Amino acid sequence: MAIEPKYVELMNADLDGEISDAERIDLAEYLETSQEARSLREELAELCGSLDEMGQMDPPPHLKYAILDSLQKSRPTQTKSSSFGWRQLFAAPALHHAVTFAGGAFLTFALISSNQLSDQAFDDVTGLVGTISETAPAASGQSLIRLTSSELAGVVSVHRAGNLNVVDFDLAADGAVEIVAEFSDHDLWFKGFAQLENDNTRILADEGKVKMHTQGRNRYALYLQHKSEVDAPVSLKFYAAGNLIHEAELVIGTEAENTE
Amino acid sequence: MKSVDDKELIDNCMNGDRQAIEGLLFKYEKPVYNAAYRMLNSPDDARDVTQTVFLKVIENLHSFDPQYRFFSWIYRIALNESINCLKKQSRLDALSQEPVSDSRGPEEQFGSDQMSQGMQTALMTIKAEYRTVIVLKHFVDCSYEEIGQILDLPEKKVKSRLYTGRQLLKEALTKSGLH
Repeated sequence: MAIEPKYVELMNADLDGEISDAERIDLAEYLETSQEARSLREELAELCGSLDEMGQMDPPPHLKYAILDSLQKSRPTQTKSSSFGWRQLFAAPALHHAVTFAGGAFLTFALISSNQLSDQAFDDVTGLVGTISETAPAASGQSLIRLTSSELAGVVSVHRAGNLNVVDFDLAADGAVEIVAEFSDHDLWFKGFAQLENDNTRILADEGKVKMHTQGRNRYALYLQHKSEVDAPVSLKFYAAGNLIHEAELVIGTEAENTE
Repeated sequence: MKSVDDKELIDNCMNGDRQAIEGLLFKYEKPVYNAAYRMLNSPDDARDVTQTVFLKVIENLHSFDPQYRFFSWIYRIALNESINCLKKQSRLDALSQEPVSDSRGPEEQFGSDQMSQGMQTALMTIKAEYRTVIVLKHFVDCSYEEIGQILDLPEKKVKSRLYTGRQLLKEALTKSGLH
């Protein structure tokens, strides 16, 4: 005996939790009379159970930051007016760091000098934001690194602010990550450090080398002064649990190139 | 449940509040990724679709009509993007004829539940219109009414597609020896 379509519908609705009490009683009575219907009910229950047991997949850990990074670049064409809007938030990635330097470079430099370990980065810098001309991307060489590993995701970029190079780190790390920046050009100096949003970063500056320890979501900047007519390479190495997870080289351009 | 606080998040996103954007991501990243993954059976494609969805959502928030529910809008975009992705890869025509190959790496396949993977493979053999309702029902946990809103279909049609989809899925599993 074929199963009445009405009861196939009720079986599905029952499994989906979308059945009324009256319909449930009707279905139960029908199931008692039909072995075929009971078998189908069992098969459907097994199928739905298997689907439900498949569970949820976790998105890649860096996806959220990749999306935020894309949003930053896409710049919505229409937003409501606001005192702190999209454009201000994302227009110039290094702007916050640059203005921070204008307000706080002296303090930063005083706080973190050669061979001196700071327990944390320069305090929240957002309050130091003032008026400064917009920074420009470094003019030559590799000025942008994208990281998309499971341990570390985000972007490192170089911008100019006056005669300074601002290396902007916008990163998210699942666990503890050590970043080592090394440069051998004697005309390149570490001038300071600042960070936004977080105080989880520690920094150790030495001659030709800067080490940072970071975890979680961080946005911070290294200030490097460059007084030379040739580009200066900066080697960046990223370590998680002592293992090298990414290696890249940034090129710090010359003042002449960048002020053109 | 899904619409709680959405209006406030959307208003704040439109005002350029980065925390609100992160809030929207926190709330919808995983379900959107999962819907895309189940539609496409590819983590890479699901990641790309999820990224596209959020870009479109944020860029078009000004055109979102608040008389509709936000989750309907975002899932509709997610499913449309997933179907576009399938079309681009010229998979769509083949879906109802042969199983789509598993694009996961050997490490991911190793140790994964055989039934789950068999189910995902079977899911890829049924037409996108049926797969869509199954994904919304079982992986996004939508009611018939919500599925109707997302797909702009009457509830009766939703039920019909869901029941047919399950029947087709059951047949695909039987064919593959898993059911």
